[in-house]
Amino acid sequence: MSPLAPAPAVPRPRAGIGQTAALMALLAAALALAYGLGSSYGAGLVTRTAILALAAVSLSFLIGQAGLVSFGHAAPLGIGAYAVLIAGEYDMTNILAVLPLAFGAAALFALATGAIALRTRGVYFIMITLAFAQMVFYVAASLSAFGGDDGMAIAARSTFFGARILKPDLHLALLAIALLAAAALGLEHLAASRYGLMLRAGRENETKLEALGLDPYRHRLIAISVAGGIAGVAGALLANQVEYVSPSTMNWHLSGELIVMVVLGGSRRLGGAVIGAMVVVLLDEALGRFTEHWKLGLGLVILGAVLFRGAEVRALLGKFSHG
Amino acid sequence: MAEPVLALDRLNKSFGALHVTRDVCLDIRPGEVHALIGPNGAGKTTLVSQIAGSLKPDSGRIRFAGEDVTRLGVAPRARRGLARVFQISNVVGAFTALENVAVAVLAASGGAFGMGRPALADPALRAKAQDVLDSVGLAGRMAVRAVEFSHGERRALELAMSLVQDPELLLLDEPMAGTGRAEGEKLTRLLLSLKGRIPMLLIEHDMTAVFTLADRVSVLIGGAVAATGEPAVIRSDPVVRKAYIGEDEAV
Repeated sequence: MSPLAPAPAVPRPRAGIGQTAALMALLAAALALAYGLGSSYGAGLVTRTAILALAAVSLSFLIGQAGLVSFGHAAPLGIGAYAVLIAGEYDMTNILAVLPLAFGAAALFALATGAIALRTRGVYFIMITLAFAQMVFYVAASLSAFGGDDGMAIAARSTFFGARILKPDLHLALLAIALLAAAALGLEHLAASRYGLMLRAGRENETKLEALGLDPYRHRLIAISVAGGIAGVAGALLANQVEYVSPSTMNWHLSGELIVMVVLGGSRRLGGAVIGAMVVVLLDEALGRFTEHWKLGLGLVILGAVLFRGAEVRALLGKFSHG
Repeated sequence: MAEPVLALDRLNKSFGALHVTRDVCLDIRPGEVHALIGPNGAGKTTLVSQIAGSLKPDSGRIRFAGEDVTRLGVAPRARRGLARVFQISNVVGAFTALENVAVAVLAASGGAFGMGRPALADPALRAKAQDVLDSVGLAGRMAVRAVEFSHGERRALELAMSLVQDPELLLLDEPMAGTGRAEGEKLTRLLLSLKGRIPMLLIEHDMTAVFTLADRVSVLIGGAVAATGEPAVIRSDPVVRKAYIGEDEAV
């Protein structure tokens, strides 16, 4: 290989911790600024960014570390949201029960569908994850007891043994940032571990890994479940923020937007997904004010990202062609 | 005599009407370097794939390390000690030499699910990697990414990844292919230093390497084993000379 065309650098997960800390500080500062200016709109925006970043970080782990491009990540997110709604209908609102429930339900879904999806590669993997997500979307739309197509409002925001700790928006925002930080650091740690090393080896060269005696199937299944679980937590937070859950939470548009966030920020570092989430949410708001055709602007940004990150996108597409 | 490390018993494989492996019987004794030669299209690669487990034979049995492995896949065979060095150097290009060897150590040892400490911070793992990289002449190249290696260095790295697993058998698929003269000689010396300790099945076109290293040579022609014997016998075998080595080529 010529020195003119160096392969993309290996992710050095440890180096990402500083970046993650800086991004969390940035989010916290934005939140402080919003409260300083008395802008509840701004605070809501920060919360939404942190929540979507949480989902994007988990997808970034799947794409960047495991090499699995899921086009159905909105499904576990939506399942997390529905967990809040359904548990609320049965008078279960304690956050210590609701969050684990959201994580568990989403992880279980990801595990079951992942076990099948992992039999495929590349573009087929993308299509089958999309198909599973669409199935869940239509199941949710048919749940007439929980709002059907239209969805319904949740009974109440999550509580802590009856105390309504999430009632102030500030608390929800802080919880979202804290969970984002915890997830990012946890996933960084996982990426640096032996498990993470094997996951990346499987992404880079599956044939060799098998010849060395390891079939990465179980590693990938774990990655899918963990990423799904984290997306579920993001969904639970989202349900708490808007206090409303509908099938559109698991619309494929959101799956696509999450992929855009990951690609925009770069999948080699988990922090990239946070940056991507910030950019997409801000664009969404900023352009959405001027024109309802704001997606056109987003499209141009994506085009720019593809041009800038050509090597990475080609690497993803390269995997498809082997599929 | 001790049981062979690897024994192929009447292997057959066809692709449609093309019979690529015909009743192949072959064994590799403990400590032996067994070379497999044959003209292009003789079915060497197909045979190697069946031994490694990436291709299932139509009929016949494969015994490895005292066990019938005919039905096992690539990874389980590798865990039983079958180490394959690919025809086209197969390492993780984006990983450093250290990371490549670490993957090899962990893949077979069952430490592959560790989620506690960072993988590369483990001093025992680093020491083991350092040792094996020293032994193949890659000392001081630990932190260099494999894409930046020369062809011969990448080959040596792949060999290191196999050696670190303490293999029962090394399956070497044309290790000399694409290496320069000096690199080829270096690699031959390296393999010579392993001879007697690790049994090897050496698929090779480079006759100098074959006759330097091999204890026995098998010749594959048209998918079938045409002859097996000591290098000197094979060299003078008229059938082999005619079909493969070429009558006017001095060996």
